[in-house]
Amino acid sequence: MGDLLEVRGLTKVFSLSKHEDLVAVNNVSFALGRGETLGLVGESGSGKTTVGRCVLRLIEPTSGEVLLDGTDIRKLETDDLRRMRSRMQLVFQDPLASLNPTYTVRQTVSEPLALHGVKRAERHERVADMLRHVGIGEHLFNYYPADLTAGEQQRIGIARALITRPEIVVLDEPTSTLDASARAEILALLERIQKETGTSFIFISHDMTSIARICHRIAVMYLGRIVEEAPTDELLAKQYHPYSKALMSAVLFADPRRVPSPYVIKGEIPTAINPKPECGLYSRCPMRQDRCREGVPPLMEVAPARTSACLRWQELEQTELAAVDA
Amino acid sequence: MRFAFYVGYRLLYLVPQVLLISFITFALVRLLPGDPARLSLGPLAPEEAVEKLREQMFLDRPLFEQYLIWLRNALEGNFGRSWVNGTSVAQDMIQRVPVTLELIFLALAMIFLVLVPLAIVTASRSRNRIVAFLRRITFGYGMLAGALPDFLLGLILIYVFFTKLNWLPGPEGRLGILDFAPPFVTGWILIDTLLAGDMETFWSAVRHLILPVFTLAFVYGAPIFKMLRSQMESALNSDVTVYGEAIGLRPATVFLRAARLAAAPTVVIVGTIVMFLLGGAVLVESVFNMNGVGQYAVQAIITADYAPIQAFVCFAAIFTMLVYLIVDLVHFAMDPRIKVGGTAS
Amino acid sequence: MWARMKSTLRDLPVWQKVVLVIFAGTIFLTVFGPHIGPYSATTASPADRLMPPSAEHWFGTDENGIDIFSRLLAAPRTDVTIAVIATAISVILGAPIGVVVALLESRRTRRSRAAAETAMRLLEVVQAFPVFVFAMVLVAVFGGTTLNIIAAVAFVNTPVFVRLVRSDVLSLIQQPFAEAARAIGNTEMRTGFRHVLPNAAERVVVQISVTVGFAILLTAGLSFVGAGVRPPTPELGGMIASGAKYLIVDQWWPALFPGVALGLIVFSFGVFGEILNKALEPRATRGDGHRPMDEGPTGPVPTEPDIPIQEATVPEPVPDPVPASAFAGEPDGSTLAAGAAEGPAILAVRGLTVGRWDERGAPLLDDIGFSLVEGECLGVVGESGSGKSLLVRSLLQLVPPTLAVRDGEIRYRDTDLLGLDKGQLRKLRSNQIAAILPNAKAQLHPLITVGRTMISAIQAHERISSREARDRSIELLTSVGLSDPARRLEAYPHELSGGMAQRVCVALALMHRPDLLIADEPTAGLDVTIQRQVLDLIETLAGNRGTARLLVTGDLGIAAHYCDRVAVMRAGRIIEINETRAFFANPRHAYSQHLVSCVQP
Repeated sequence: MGDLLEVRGLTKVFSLSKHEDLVAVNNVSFALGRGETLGLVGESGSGKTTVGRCVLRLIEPTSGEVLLDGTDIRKLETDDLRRMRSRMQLVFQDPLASLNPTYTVRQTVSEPLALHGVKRAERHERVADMLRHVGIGEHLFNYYPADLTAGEQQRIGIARALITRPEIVVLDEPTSTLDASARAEILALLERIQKETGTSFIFISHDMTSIARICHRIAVMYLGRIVEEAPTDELLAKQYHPYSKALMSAVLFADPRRVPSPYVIKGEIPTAINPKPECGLYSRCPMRQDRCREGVPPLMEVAPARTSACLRWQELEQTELAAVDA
Repeated sequence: MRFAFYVGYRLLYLVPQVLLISFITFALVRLLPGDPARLSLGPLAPEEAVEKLREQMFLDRPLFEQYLIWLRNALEGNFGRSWVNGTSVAQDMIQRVPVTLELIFLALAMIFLVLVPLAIVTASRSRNRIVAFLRRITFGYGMLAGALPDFLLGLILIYVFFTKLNWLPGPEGRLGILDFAPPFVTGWILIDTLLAGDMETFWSAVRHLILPVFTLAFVYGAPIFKMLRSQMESALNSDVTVYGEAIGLRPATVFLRAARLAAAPTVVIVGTIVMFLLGGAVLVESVFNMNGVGQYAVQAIITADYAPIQAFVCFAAIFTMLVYLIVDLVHFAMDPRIKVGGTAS
Repeated sequence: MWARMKSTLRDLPVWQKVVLVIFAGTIFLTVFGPHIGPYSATTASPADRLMPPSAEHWFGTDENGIDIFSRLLAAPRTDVTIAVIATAISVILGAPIGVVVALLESRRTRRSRAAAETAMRLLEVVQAFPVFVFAMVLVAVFGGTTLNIIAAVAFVNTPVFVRLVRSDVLSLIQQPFAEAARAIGNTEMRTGFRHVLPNAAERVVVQISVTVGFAILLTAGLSFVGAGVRPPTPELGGMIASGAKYLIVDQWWPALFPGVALGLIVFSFGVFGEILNKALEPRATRGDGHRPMDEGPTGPVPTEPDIPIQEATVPEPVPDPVPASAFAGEPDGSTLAAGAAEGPAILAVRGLTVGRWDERGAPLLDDIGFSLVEGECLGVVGESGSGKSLLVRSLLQLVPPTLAVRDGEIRYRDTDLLGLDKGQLRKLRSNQIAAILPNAKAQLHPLITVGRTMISAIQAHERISSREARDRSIELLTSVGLSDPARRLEAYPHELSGGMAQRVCVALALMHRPDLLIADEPTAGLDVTIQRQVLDLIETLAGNRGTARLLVTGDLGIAAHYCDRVAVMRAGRIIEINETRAFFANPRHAYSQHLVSCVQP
């Protein structure tokens, strides 16, 4: 296995009280190769953000393994953990809130270097290089975050993440609060960075269009689990899980000729508190059967490099099911 | 159901808190300089007598045991005797607590009847002439919040309304020297005079209460006024209000709902204000000679009379805890977002 | 930082400048006061008792014949020193405790939370002792030396800082920037001190100023009742106390001069706190790198003393990431030509111009014109700051108080909405013109149930009983696809998901079968599958009934599939209107082309 990052059986349970456990992430496994971008897509409450935090150990996973080059980062202690932090970085959803309001642009971007013991002179140069690289002009170096536009703020966030030359960057909805044009620019920037540095990305988003543009592979998450995983092109062409299908058909492309599929799914995502041992989609699924309640359907290999957790994936391939009701 | 659960939760904390308060009170006062037994008998009393009294007062026992004895007595309503005037502290308290409560209650009533509506009305953007006038005269009042010393205001009022104008009685207590005090029923002078049917004394009592109550309400109403007004202003500009107008709700409904939105956070500071009112009552009672529990405590402190101090501090702390409890319950009832065991998310 | 301070100082109203001078004077007297008085501040001279103010004794003399003016100059040193030292101790004790409690709470393990909760309850016990009484007892117990007064004042003020720091740190530590600090390799401790604490510091500084004022009051109060500083030390509370008994006999100077001085000093500390607050708070334009935003339509919000003006809730125009010069500036006939709809217009807007109410600055909406025919859906698209939300509020006649319609016409059928009074507008709203505003959960009143909101909305326009209104509400909720509608009526907004709340708003909008529905970002913040549900719902319920719709959105995808025509807004103007298919196939205006290219890879 030459994968850079391998996640096995990752689970995170938040204990709310004696009788209530919120299972945010439930037995999630995936791998990420060098220079690859994996998309984690799902709605709020699907656990995708928690996965990102657990991978970086910003949240302690309840169980499972996170192997970076074969070493389980859950076993790292202080100094090793800090070294790991320079190899794996995070970009946040809300660009302004993720920047310390009392730090200037330059202070923000140079702090990670200072923490990892880079000398002052070298720091100065590298920060300037990095900021220019992400398209921040010299005249903005002494500004405070609140004086910048959202697009510029997010560039600072990206520069801060990339300054230690990490191998993996977790991008947690980096474009969801941005306007369309700023979003397009940030996505283009990320693509360029990957081409030049070979950094691997985990791109977390609920926005299928961004995901489709930037990711090599996509894992669809629902209620704390991955329900389908496939290379991007294949997933866009054909879905083997009713939830992925509904997600795809809900995407509204900015082209009136691409009429969205009428496949919609009713209701809303159920609570992740004390989940029942059944398919998470059971309450909403238009093609549910009794056997879907007999246990959580496992992730099955349905085609080369494709997995699905639907017991009836074959039928889904054959028929275009309309919604039972909207 | 949710409410009952919350009351239970809060009461659960109240018991240990009250116990802790009583212990702190006890320990604190026992640290007062001087030997209570010696103080009680005077410097000339023979050593054996002091020793004997010490035994009687359980002063030879360990501190914690003394506390338990004190607590048992307190629960039975026995707070000991004042060694300055030899009276029963419990009796003194029964006489004086109503005086203080009456002051606080009347001041609160004035705040709620005058200042609260004023804050709500002046927060509106209405261009009505009366509202504009009210806005002008209240401009700056909120700024005084916390700056004006209550005892100073009391003195100035006495100077203006008694010394200079002679419209109202001076600092001679609850009644003039020529008034007959009504029989003690509730201890609230206004109620007792009415019960006695003595209208003349009733009006005299009213006149004696005007200045102290005004002093307390004016000084301690300012923070409530300021908070409520700014809350109301932001409520009137909030999404909720705009949306209410957008769906065509009646103007009165929109306004009242904004007031409701503003009220919830304001309630929280009312508890703090009541607590300060009690402290303020101590000073104002001294200024106006009201002979309430605050003035009683001041005298006890100056003469190092420890039983009254214990009783007063205990009363004050438990009073405050109860006020906090009530405020929390009101806030809880007003805001459905508060979870039992936490604050609004 | 200094530039910011300077500009704050310049913008202060005159009375605040005066107060600031008093504040500075107090500080000066604290340092030099005892040495500058014309007479001794402590030496009694019985012969000169209670002399009224004169050329010799400006403020008269007190019962001991001491010159009051000299005593007043000397007194601040006592009061202010006690208050400042006591406050400093409160901060030094309180802040670390606050940080520790907050850290414990944020750890989220049950045990650390219990520890934090216990600490807070203990604090409540300390705070249960009325501040003044407690300080009085402390002084009585340990004796009235200056040190003990400081200790007492410090002790009763400590919980204030514990609470303040705790709540600030607690909310800051959950901010993404604190998490970011950890993500780049900061330890929990370093995050707390380097990142969180400096951000909490500003509020602490403001609180310090207020607390010093309060501590002065406390010190003076203690001395006033005889449980504080003892004479002959010059001290304001004690001076007032000694003068109080002469007030009744019309000898006012011994009490009033120190009284006024005390009031002014405490007041000046409070106001100084507010000025500090103003100087520190708005970080948006702080720092040496203050960015010259294009001043354009927004300058500082004007303040009029009479009308309380809040910040406008309309998004401020954000400087465009794409320079305006990149596009052909003016809309020409060709980009607006296809905007004419067929059939009788239900809504016709002409020359609508909205700007600041005082007519200063460029307009925020500039010469807006479009029309909407029956049953049609017009999409208004644009990026944040383009003015689309303001357009919605202008159409609804709910412009924020800092703004006003300057010119134009909003014609609904045959009436010009701008000419209607409030009562007439209210009758139109919801009945004929309905609105859906973004983020439904923020629109619904958080303290009352969904049912009460719906019932009062129905009863605002129809004279029916609450019972009937309730039944209608249940029907309405059923029609928008909410399961178990009777139970939903009892729910508060926070108990609903974003999707459910938006369905409630759809029900509220369509309850009176309006002819025109104005929907502003009706699905912002909703997940895609829910977004689809809500949009379909609006289309089925409103579209099938022939309700004309104005759908404002930043998402071109929504416009492409749910609108008949699309209008593009930029910097307060409509730059292009066209039939949807034609627009996406061939956007004419350069900015439209740019917008479309951003979402069509």
